[in-house]
Amino acid sequence: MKLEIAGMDFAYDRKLVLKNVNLKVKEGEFLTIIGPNASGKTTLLKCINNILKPKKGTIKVDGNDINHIGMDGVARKIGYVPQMSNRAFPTTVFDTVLMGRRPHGNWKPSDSDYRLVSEYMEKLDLQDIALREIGELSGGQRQKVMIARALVQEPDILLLDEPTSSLDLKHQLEVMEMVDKQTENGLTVVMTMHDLNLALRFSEKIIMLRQGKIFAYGGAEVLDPVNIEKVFGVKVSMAHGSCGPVIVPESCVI
Amino acid sequence: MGTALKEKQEKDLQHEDLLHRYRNFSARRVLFIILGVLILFVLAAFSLTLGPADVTIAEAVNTLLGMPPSGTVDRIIWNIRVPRVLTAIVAGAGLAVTGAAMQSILRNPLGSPYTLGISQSAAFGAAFAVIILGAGTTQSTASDAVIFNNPYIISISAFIFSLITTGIILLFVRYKNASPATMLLTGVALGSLFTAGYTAMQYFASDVQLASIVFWTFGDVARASLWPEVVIMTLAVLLAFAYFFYKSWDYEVMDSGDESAKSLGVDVNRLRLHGMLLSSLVTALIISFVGIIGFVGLVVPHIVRRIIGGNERYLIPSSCIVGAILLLASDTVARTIISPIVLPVGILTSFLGAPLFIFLVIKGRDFW
Repeated sequence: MKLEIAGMDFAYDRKLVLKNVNLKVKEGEFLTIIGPNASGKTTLLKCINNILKPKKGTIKVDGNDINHIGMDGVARKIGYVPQMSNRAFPTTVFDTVLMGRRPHGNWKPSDSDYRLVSEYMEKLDLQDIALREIGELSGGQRQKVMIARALVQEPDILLLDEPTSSLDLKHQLEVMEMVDKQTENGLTVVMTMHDLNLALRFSEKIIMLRQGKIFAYGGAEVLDPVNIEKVFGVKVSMAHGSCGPVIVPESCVI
Repeated sequence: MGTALKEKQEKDLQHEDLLHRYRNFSARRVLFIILGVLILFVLAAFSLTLGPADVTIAEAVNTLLGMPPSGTVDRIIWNIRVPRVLTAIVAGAGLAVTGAAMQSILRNPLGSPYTLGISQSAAFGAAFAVIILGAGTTQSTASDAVIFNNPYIISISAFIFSLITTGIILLFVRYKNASPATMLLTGVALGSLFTAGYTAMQYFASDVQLASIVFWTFGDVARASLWPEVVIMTLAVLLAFAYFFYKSWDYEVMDSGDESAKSLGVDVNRLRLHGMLLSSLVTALIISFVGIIGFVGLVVPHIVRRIIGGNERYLIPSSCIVGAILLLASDTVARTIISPIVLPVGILTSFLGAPLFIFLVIKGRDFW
């Protein structure tokens, strides 16, 4: 197993936010975590990345407890694209992507680090904006830069926190397809998402979180009208598009 | 097969082009540093020739190389002017590099010894030494307004009170997990507390004591122009520079936000604690020796960011150089502009630095 979470609880002060989370993710799997606001999606991602410390339970990557492999060790295994990142001071796109090599180096990037940055910037079509300031970019470009930074880490697992939330339709698909493509090379993806249709279309496995507990886990079939109504309080129906099933919201359940 | 090879070659060319552009971009930043060092050397040589006794540049340089034209020139250069020039360079570099670090640690462009309360607590410490410990109330002379009869007690007292402020903020970071915003607000609160204490002491001070403590707050590099002080400050500033330069990539990552930094393997809490400890200690030391020299720590890093961008690897050395140039230039002007009266250098740093900063806001890179 690439990632294994067992019996994990997390609490902010005394408020229990995640309760008894158990999860196994295989290498190259694309897992999406969905659930209403405040259901604990982002918290779960931050726990996996050791940014937040669970109250109890274990998180293992390749069979090793993440508490025992050091911060650099975690960073070499897991890349993270936060939902929002606001930089205190200006820097260029190239320097930002280069930061992804920090877990692999000590105090200075090497020639091969620069080369790798260049390769990923080409893959994500960022060469033309390489020397621009991050602050000047559009939301879509910035998201791509953040993904490039995480990929340059050369992690085994990529965590994405609502990567499409600030993107237009074209950029949403572009980002999702690009992330999906990475799983072909064995990258494991764990992502949170509000857009159920994108989740349905790209994920191999889906977790539905409700009030900090895993409500349902499985393939695309878990996103059925009954589960969605229970988790989100919204009645939906299923339609069929050319790319597969589509979820159509109907009404709120009062 | 042929097309695949062609594609690969094309990609290689694209990589080379991108890396070439980035290298050029970095070379410009290095060039800025080299240019700064040259300007600093020229300015230092020029500064050595200025003063009541006439010394030419050639004489000054020969003296530095161990071939003084006369014993008098040798003594003037080595005992008076070199220590003074070095103090200006070291204090300027130290205030600027710690200012740059504080701004990153606090994630705030207003980070400086002032916003952290270090300057105010040092001023309080100096006043405390003058009034309570009786350290500085003697004669006035025409060339130097007030002479402190025990400058070391003033420096030590200023340093101790700066450490109290720093210590409180660090305790909050260590045991209350204070965020950068809390650190900043605590600094402002403590600064205001010490200003109140300082003002209260002024209110009850005699005329001569009052003159002494007010004079102390005008920063002046001449005050620390003896070799032992220069050596202590130089060692402290070198240590700070070495540490922050070594950690510059971590600082660069920390500027992207705590969560990003943690996900990239940087222990932000530890980095913040160590950086805060070192930068506060070095700033407190400089302020205790030379008094309050505002503006350098706050604005020099911003001047550098406006010219070469925010990358910490270049920001740290560039801030050192620009800080040194600004303080040395200010001191040189301060002791020549209305000679024989020597103006406190703190006045000149703002007079020279503020227009430069405003010019760069108008003309420089557009960030905020």
